[in-house]
Amino acid sequence: VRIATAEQPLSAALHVAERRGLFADRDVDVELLPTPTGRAALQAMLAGEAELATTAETPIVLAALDGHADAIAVLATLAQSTRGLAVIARADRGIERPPDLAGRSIGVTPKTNVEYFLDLFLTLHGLGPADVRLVPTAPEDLVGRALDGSLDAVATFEPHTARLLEALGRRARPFREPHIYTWLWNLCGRTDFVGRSPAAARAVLAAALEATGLVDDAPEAARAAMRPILGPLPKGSWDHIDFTMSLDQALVPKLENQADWALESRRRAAPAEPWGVLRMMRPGPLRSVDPHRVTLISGGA
Amino acid sequence: MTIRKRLSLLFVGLLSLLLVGGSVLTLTMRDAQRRADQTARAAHAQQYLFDLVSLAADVRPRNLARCRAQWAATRSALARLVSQDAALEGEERAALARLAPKTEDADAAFRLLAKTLEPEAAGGGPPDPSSSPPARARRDRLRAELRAHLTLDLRSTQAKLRHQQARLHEATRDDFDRLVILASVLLGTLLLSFVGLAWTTERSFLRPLGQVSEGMQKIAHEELEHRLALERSDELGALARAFDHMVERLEAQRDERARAESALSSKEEELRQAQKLEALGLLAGGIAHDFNNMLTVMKTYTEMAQGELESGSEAAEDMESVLQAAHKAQTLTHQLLAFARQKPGAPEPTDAAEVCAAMEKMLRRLLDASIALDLRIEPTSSRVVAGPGWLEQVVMNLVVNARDAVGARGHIRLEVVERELASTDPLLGDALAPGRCVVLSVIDDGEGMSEATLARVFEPFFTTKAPHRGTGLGLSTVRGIVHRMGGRIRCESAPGAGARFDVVLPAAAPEAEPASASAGASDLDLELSGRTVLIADDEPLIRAAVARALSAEGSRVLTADDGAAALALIEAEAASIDLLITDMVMPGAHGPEVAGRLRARRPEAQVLFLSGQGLAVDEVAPAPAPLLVKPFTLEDLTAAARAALAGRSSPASS
Repeated sequence: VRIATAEQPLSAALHVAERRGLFADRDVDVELLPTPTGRAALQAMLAGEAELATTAETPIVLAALDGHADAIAVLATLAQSTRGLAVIARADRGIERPPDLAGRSIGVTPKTNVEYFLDLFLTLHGLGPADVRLVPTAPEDLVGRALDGSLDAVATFEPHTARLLEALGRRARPFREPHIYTWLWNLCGRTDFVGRSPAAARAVLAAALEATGLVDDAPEAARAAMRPILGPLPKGSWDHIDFTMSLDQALVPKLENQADWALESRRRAAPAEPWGVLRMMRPGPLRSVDPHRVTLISGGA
Repeated sequence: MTIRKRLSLLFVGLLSLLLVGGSVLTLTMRDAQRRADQTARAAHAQQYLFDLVSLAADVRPRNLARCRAQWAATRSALARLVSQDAALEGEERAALARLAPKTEDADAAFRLLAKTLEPEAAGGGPPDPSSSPPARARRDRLRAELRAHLTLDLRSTQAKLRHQQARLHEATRDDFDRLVILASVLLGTLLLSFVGLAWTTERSFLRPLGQVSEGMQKIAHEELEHRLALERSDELGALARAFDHMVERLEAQRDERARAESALSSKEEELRQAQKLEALGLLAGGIAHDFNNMLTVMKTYTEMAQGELESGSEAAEDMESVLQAAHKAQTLTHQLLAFARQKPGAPEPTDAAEVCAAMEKMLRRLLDASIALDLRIEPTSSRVVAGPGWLEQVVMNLVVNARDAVGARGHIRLEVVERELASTDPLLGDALAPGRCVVLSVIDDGEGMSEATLARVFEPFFTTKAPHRGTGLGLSTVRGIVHRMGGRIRCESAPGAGARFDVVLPAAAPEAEPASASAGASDLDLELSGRTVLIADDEPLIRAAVARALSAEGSRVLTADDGAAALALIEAEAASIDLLITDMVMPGAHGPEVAGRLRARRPEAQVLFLSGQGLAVDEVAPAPAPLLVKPFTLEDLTAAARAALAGRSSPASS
């Protein structure tokens, strides 16, 4: 089984499972395919390069709106983070509070959950997309452009957040607003694969579940396991991650919200076919591994 | 180890075990109770979390106040519940600590959600109509995200709590398992302790007590050889040793008592034997006394009749035969008297070798020619104390006994040796003192005796001879004589091995040779005629025979038929009485009393005592006087009477 996974601390459970031989224990041969982002991982899966992928909910929604809803089976949420996303403004540009962002240029990577987070952030503080100047920026360019002053603020995610804060030092003014958005890191599978190999899907989920327990109980050991992949991480870059595996009902409104946002913000056109999030939910495999982990009220098998 | 120490160790061990086991059990139960409480609180907390999730999903502008109040109350109750677990330590505390940020985060999210609802709640109406639809959509999305965030926080908390519950459950199960194992170990140890206690009680107390009890019962049944022999170093061992020591002393006392009883029994047997002999002696003495009187009469009258007959005539030879028969009868009465220790004559130092040598001729006449008699008599320097005829009677009886034992053909040896016997010499036995002795032995090669016969060989009237061939008094008489001589006799014999009788006689103390009793023959010629002789005897035949014999010598004879008559005659005729011939024992007055009266009245009168009892005159008479022992011949009588008149003893008297 090939799993395309972004090189993210949120993916730690899969890496720990591989290193500890938890997949082999369940007679499933897993190959982890590293990708720069969750969106890339999902695209790799949809392209047939992998059977499973880890990604945030935003790429799922966008892919669904692109007509891949039937190809995507959401199996579980591996981890969640409330603090991974942040808006970091240049204090030296006079931005002290969120409302000070009005009329300012904010760098953000399009078609990511960061863009969605930024929308919620602005809404919370009484601003609309029209009140600021959104500048589409690739993730790797965000730090440089924030430093060279071409942007007044950036919306980004870990580990870029930590790096940017480190680079700007006292010039940075971080706005985190951890409660408005929970970043879910989901394990998705190709529908055909899940339907064809439910046992493999269950085995991967069982190994991942055991691994999340190990990571939760011993975060330092998990961090040491991830160091060869991610390199040295800034201090505190894992503290915001909650390695609790589930398939929660809350995922449904979140996906729906983001779909609405994508349509409203015209990032996608309305699909021709009637579209429903629940069609992508596959609670069966996780329920067979640990029924308590599934709190989905309704959904597919 | 003493019983006290053993018991102390046992009880201390048991008590320590109970204390340690009880403490561990109590601590484990306390842990189990604490986990059970914790599990109950976790379940309660789950309920609170469920309520909070429901509140988050349900919160609306119109019920905002109520939801806020409920949220606050539930959160407060949850916080109190969690704070009760604040005493937890280690991993459990860390797990609890991880719950706190999540619930706090959920609190913040709820407050934020409530804040977004406030404008509409305050307005009490529909959403702000001034806001644009996209703005309202964005606001709704924000609220939905806040709710989702809130829900995810709480669900994550629930999951973590569930994880903790699972751990608690596992720990509780471990506690229960531990409790079961501990209780089993404690119970098993207690059981083992009780088994050990029972075993120790059996081995240390009951079994040795049983042995002591059994031993005491055996001792009670006089099995004094029994010993407890408990090889123990405790109190019971000391008790057993003391008991064994006591039993040893009891056994020694019992043996001592048995020996004393055996000795007493032996003495009683000897006493019975002595009493029997005494009775026999009295009987024999009485018979012999009367018989002597008769013999005296018979011999006297026969001699008188013989004197009147022509010598060589047939009648005179018949009288001689009568006299010989009387003489043999006299020998028999002497034997009886000797048996009754009434043999006349005083014991005096005697040369046993000489006596035995002198008997050779007579002994050979006793034996048939087919029986060889061998005399091995060594001259002895020591003498033995013996009465007249005692040694002869001893030798005669032993040789006759040997003759009867060897039958028609055999060999008899008579030995006399003088020896110095040491204290260890078996010849001495228990009765004799070591020193110089004369040993007289009669050895035959006859048929010998069985052990049973040997045991009774000296018993009076015991005989193995055919009827009329023996009286059964021979050997008992020998023993009586030997004892009177201060010696002892022993017999060795076995069936077919002949018999050997050893008579051991202690040597007499050296003394002056007795003065010669010989007197001038002229004294014997003192005339009896013309003399007045008072004859006192209660036996009329004796009295008459003596009177006739003296009358025949020419004496004037006065007779008294008892002591009183004699005394009366003395009163009447004292002045004329020259000689009193009186029986020793008479009715009215005994001979010595009569003699005393006569001497008082006529001091120059002489006295001759007659006795069939063999008593010495000085034993009963106030003054010494000659004694003529019955039966006597006429010659003896006249000689004794003449000697008495001459104032001395005749050879026939003593």
